[in-house]
Amino acid sequence: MAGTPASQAIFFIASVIIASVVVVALYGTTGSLSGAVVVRNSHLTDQLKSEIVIINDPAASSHPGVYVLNTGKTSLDNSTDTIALMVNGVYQTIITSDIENDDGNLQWDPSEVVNLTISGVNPAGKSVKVVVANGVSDTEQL
Amino acid sequence: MFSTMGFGISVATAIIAIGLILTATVHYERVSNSCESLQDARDEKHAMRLSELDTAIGVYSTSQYHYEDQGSIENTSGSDNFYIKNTGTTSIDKADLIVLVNGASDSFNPELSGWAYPGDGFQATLDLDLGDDVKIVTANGRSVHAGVV
Repeated sequence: MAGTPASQAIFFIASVIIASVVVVALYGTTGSLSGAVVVRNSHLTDQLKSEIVIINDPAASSHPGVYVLNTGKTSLDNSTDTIALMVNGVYQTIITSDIENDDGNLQWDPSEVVNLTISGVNPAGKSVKVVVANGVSDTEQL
Repeated sequence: MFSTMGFGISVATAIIAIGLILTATVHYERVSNSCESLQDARDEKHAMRLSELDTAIGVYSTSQYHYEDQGSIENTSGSDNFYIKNTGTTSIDKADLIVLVNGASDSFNPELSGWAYPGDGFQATLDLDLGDDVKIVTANGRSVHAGVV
């Protein structure tokens, strides 16, 4: 019985330590989980607000480029290395990606058109797919 | 001994309970804000779809906007005038209209400005040749095609 107070103290301290470890682990795990949810929601929000439409005229026999209209609610990145262009499923290197009706701020804003030029391939009569940085895409048969 | 162990377990339970409350308080707000932003984006997407469905335009060769004049532009010497009518149920910013002639981007001359309310028609001018294909696109991607005859 002489060891009883000591063992009681050990049990008490052990239970407090275990509870603290559980709380710290729970806090960290929940933090990671909520952080991931916030990042995922932010990505989905960005995707939902973004939209593009290929507006080339299928009736035209030749196309000086692929015209892509920003029909979303947010500005998009129009630099050539952030846009993917495929013609009949084959990736094409974009030469230029100029904004046709820029309002002067050099950003691809809603209702502005980007002209994507490629070399060596006439997209007339072919399936064209354009994908922007956040994964939003449009496909059109020209 | 059992009463002290019971006290220890009570303290441990209290620590875990306080930890749970603290965790929920700290993380709930930012997850909640993020979910609200997502819901707002869903609502905006819904509004975009509605706006697209409500938007429609027609190209006519005369200001009478007769059915038989739809989809054609009469070729004349010099600049060619034609008429665009808002046939949808939402207003259109004329400055946001995009025009392609034979597949290439072009611009109205003079430039268009102001709003076209549902049912409104207005004149537009382009330099066109016989057989040209004209495509006019609204800011939300709705388009109309016309041929020069």
